[in-house]
Amino acid sequence: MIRLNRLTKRYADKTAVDGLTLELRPGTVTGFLGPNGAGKSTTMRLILGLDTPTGGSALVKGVPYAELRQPLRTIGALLDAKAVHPGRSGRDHLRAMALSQRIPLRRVEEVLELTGMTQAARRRAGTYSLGMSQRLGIAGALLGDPEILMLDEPVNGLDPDGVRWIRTLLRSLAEQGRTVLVSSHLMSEMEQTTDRLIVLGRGRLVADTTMAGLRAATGTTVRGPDLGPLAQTLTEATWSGPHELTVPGVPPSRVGELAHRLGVRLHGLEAVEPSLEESYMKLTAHSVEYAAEVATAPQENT
Amino acid sequence: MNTPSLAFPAPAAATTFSTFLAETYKLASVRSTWWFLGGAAAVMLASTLSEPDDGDPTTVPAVTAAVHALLYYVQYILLALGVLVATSEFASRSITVTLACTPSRTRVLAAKTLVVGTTVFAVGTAIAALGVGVAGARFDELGTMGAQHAGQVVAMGLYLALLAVLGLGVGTLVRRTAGALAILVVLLLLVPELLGFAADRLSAPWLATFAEYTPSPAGWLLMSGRWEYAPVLAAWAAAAVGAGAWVLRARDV
Repeated sequence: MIRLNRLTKRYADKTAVDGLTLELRPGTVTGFLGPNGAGKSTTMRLILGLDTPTGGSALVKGVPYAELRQPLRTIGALLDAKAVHPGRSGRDHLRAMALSQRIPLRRVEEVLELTGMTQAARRRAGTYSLGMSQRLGIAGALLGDPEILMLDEPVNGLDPDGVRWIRTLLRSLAEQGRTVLVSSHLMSEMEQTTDRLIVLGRGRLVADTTMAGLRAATGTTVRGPDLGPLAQTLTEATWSGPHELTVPGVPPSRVGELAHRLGVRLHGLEAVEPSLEESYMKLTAHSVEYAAEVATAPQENT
Repeated sequence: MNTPSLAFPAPAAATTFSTFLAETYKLASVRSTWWFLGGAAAVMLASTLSEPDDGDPTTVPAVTAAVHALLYYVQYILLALGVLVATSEFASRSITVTLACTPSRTRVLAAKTLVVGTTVFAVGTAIAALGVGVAGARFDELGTMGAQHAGQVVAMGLYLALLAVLGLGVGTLVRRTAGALAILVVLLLLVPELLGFAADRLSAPWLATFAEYTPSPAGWLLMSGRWEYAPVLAAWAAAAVGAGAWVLRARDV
């Protein structure tokens, strides 16, 4: 469906996408996750041919996007909800899109209905709230009834009702056999929606996993009167109390075995399942673009 | 795996004509287009209503009055319309939607050129006819006009159309409204002035001849009935659109 092969985009001062290779399969919702600046949007722009890759390729159904005869029939995308002429009404925006693909104009009314935008369709897009712009953008993505949907941060600006609506929509689209790629920088948005998670950091693939897989990195908490030998052997262990060690990433069975071999007496041994948010933070910690750089940057102009 | 259900039968392949229709719809569906076209007509009307008769019985002041209105005011309004057709897409980022719909950038720019050119030619010719008609009625010389003056009206429409296309090309080239307008004002106003000044100062008449080939003097000559200047203006418009197409293809949006 979508195949990226060592896709790379380099700008003068930074590499936005760095040798990304992956394939998206039909019938699944794939979550594209990463901190801001991780390369999610750039990857989507490269898939649509808006930017030219520095290296590698992005193919949609085996061909570059530019070679698609009626691109909106194959892939519907929402990159930037505000990318609409502010003086044009929502309906006219969609009609112009439909005319360019010879999509019948009644389909415009269908997607307006589907996204709850019928009432607002007459108004100029410049007057829309971010939530309404997102709905218009999703209407545009659905316009060609495409096999592939690609939505960049679609939940941004939606109210809780809107968030629930889009989750249901994405699931039902995948169940119809379509390929859905949806990006977010918030872990929690992905939890109930996605089958597969692709985590990006600094333009590179950090993890290609599932929700369960991300959660599986189980750690252990262990208690006992004298845990010294255990602490020396397990380098990743940290003291979480005077008689308590926390060992991230090592399951209880292995900690128990080791304690037995070392002859360490235990009073408690339990699994610690990190929250998804924690796992995600850990995965992307070293690739968070701005946090570290801002902290070390010298103060200027103050 | 289920195959996706289709909400409507597959339409025939999109063509250059579809892109042209979409661009026409886009131009017509923003209010500013109508303000620009209406404003150009209003300015022509106001200018030709206030232009004094030059008292020279050998000239046809009605046509001169319309040409003056056009060169002083009307052309800048329609030039800005051409510029905005390109730059408003970059300002609002809607160019990403346009190119997602039609990935061929050459085709998008060709469609925009056609839409801007035909629209401004039709409206510009009508505005020129309005100006000549109003001034002609004022100076009481409608009866003396003939085919030659009708030709001049068409030349005015052609000049305006080629100028708007020039604006579209420069707008595509630089992507910013202010930058594009600055370049065009320099090209239309300053360059012929400077060339004329230099021709005088350096006693180099070839510079004055060269100035005649810049857009506004060439336009003035064209509207005076010198049709051999039409290709000159067409070349300016083609060069701007060509440069715009080259940059549009080469650069990320």
